[in-house]
Amino acid sequence: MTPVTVSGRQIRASGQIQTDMKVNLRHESTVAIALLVPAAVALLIFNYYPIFQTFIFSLFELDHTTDWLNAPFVGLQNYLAVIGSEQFWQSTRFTLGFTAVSVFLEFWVGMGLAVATFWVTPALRGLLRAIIIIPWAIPQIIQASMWKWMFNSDVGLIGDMLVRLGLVDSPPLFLVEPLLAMGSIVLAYVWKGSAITAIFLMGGLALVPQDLHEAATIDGAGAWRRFWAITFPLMTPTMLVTLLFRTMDALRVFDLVYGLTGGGPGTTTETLSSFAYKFYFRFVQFGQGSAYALVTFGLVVSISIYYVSRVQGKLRFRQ
Amino acid sequence: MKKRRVHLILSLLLAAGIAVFSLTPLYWMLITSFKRPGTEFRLPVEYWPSNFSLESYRVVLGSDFLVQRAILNSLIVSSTAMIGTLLLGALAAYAIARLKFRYKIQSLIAIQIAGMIPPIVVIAPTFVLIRTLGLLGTLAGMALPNMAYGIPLTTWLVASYFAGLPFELEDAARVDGAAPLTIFWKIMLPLAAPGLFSAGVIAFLGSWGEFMLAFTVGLGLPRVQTVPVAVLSYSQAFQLQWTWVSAGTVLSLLPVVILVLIFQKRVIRGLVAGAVQ
Amino acid sequence: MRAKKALFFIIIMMAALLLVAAQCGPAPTPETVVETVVVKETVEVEVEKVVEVEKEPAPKVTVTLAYNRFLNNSFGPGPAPIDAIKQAVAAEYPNIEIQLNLMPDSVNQMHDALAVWMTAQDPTVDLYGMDTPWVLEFGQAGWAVPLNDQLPGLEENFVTSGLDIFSYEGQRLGVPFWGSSSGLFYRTDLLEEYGFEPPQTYDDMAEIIDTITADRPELTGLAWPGAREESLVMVWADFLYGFGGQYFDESGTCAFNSPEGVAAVEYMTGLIESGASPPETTAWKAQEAQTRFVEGNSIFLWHNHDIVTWLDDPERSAVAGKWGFMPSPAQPEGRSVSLTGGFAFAVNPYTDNMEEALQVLELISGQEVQKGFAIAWGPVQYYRGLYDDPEVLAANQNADRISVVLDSALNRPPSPNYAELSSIVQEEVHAALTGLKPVQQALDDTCDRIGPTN
Repeated sequence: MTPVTVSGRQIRASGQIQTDMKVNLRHESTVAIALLVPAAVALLIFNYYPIFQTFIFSLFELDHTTDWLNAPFVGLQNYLAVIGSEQFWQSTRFTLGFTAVSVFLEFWVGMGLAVATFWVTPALRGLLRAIIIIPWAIPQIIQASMWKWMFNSDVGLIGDMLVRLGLVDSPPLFLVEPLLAMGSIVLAYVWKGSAITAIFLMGGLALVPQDLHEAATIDGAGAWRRFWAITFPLMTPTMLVTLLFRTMDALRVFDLVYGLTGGGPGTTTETLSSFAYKFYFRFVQFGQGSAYALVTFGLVVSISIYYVSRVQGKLRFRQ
Repeated sequence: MKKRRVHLILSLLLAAGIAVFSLTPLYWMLITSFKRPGTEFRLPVEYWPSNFSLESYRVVLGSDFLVQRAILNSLIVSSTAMIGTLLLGALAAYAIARLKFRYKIQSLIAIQIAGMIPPIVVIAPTFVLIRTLGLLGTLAGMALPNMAYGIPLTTWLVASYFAGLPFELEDAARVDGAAPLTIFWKIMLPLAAPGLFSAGVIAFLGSWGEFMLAFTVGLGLPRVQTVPVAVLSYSQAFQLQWTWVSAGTVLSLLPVVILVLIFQKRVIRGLVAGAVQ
Repeated sequence: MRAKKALFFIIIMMAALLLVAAQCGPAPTPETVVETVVVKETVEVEVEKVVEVEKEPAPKVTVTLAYNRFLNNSFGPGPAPIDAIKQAVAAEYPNIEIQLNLMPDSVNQMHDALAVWMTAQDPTVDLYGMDTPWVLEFGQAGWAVPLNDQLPGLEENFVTSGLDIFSYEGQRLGVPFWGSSSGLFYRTDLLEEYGFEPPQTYDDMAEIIDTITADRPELTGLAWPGAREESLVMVWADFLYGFGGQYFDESGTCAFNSPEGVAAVEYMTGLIESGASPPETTAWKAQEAQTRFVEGNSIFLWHNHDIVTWLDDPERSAVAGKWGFMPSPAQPEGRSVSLTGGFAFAVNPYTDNMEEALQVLELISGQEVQKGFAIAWGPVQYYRGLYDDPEVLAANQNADRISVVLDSALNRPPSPNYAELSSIVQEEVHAALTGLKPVQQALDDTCDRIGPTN
């Protein structure tokens, strides 16, 4: 074998290279594991172990205590109580309905926003992006306070605008009437969600090759047609990923409900997360709360699995 | 020429419309915060304060509320969590993106699944764990779990970034006989700085906005309230004083909004990279 | 080799990070102040015990009280109760500093905060305000230190019925500092103008409201808190018994959904539907309902007695001299009830400062502080003989007007899971009020949901 020179240094004969590389491979494997261990430990402690522990809690009757070692074992009774509770089904219905409506709305609004950033003159693009991203930066619970004030039925902005536009006679009771309350939560959520969705979709839009558009324009296709025939189909992977993440996010909504309506009026805007939280930290029933939490988890997992099984995308990593 | 003019005008209109959508709630809070306390309930509704007043800011910065303390707390918690997340996430990301080992895909999936867990599922045992560690009511008790919570997204983002980097430098160094760890520290990490930066900002913002843990672990104690918890407590404690709540909200949003505006390009690039890959 | 080094390095970094993070929490260091403390002989037994145990002078200690902002407020001529407490403590125990941990106004939120602290076994708060319906729950969970041995003077100084409210299985759990009774406030001038006597039944009240509002539609008929808050439970209970219903029947079964119970809630929804109570009622807390009456815009008001203290003050009230207070109306088949409320200070079993907390609590159970409450807030305190004191009477000219409701006192439904029961009642009744559910169904659901918990 002739020695090869690369960047001024001599490399040993390829036979030697083979052996070196084998040693390096095993070595590499160890290093990789070592690098993963810290993250794995952190995730084990704060993500995976708690799921397991919550499951344990759910098998005991924990009334005003977390000491499961000394508490009565009740097996699946807590789960039966969950399934038998009308409240649970109502919260589930609302959570699912909320998710469906919110994701649908924020997807299209987000799409509009994303397309807008590409359509406007390049000079405005940066500014527009900055404006769009701001709702994303605001913590959800703070948004709850903001919207509570905006929906105030005496002097709130929304109510006042509606009155000025002549659509209603007096400001509607947004947080008092059930349908309005649900709508209010959806609106507040979509406001932030569309920003996030827009960001995701911007990425997808950027992937669409320009030349396809040019070719289509030459062929005489208008902007609308081009969007639906070219852009939309090509964005499919991005859109699916976006939908997945946004759906999971909507299913576990908590902050907005806690801060804006507290689950009210009645229990109409109670979601699975907010309802489970009540069991933990208001009724102090750790067993039953855990059962609720895990049922929520099961729901999220099954929906995610269903989604993921349809998403086709391979990660381009070095093999 | 004319087409370009029309395009410009339409763009401006569109941008204005979007600005109204995205910024009106903030504008509303800003306006309310400048009204004299009590006047926010006057009818007809004022869209510009007729009695301009900084009274609310004075109150909210005063000893009853100390919003600046909440902001400081959030800064401490989020910075610490961000550093931890970046450290742990970058290491894991490099291993996944660049090194050969078995169970690579499984590792990535395991990490990502951790990120899909709803907070309600982990809150109770985390609460008990933090209690056992004696860290309830402390900032450390909030920072630690947040480090873990940020790992999935950070790993994904940084791994995507690594994946996009050219192999040549690595290969060269490897053939030269350098160990993978040296390659990581001396070559890849500096190269990945932009990706790390984006991931860092996103991780920072993530733990800044985190509520359930901060609320539960902080026990509602004023001295360890982070910004989200503090703002909620204002709106609950004094519901009729919306000017105060608004002032508190405006002040507490300033850091993040400024942060996002400055780094918006990076943030978007980072999130986009994550979504696309 | 390198991998091991790397791993080692990483572990060190993590440990370092953890250590740094662990320091991040504030760590208060108490200062030890050496000074001689004079202890009066007249103080109760347990203080002497404390002195015996601690040979050296007491170090500076902060005792934290958890209560809402009303502790900072005075509605009368005297200082706010927190100041009265601080004064008393400064005189007896100069080494103790009193701090107020401000809690939200809403008792729901107060309860939740306390529940979290107790579950967290957190020592931050030493004394906390305990609401009457929580006693069973807190007692069973062991969240309040039993006081029979610690404060034996209570029996002697306090009216037994007041202490009983805050007792669990024979143990006193709190020192009451304020009690309330609900009733009906009404506009004497309006009733007189239209030739009505104060209503004895709800039908009477309906008639009065119809007549007056026909003539003056801007007035609210009955202002009451219909928000999904604790006060709703009290209002509901009032109507329940007023229409002849009861909480539980002889066999202990939930009786909220009896025909009488349904009639009661239907009356409540009817008030809103007919406009006798405005639609915002379902978002009103006690504060908002009270404002409507105090500003002169309502004929009737359901409220705790406590506003009698300042209702005649023209600076605060537009109805000075024009109001009356009476027991709630009741249908012929029902009985008039007055819902009790009130707070006591209880001791957090997880406090680090047990002795000091008990010392402060003892002072709170003393005449000086109780009088402070009476002058600042008005009635009711359960300290014996307090309302014979001329100063107290001078500050509370309207104290005698409360006596009309005291005989018909009723507690909220007793339950060791009161938080859950209250939540259920609040949710279901609110659902009925907002038209979400038919009244019968809402009440049936209430009983269904409560069933297992009692």
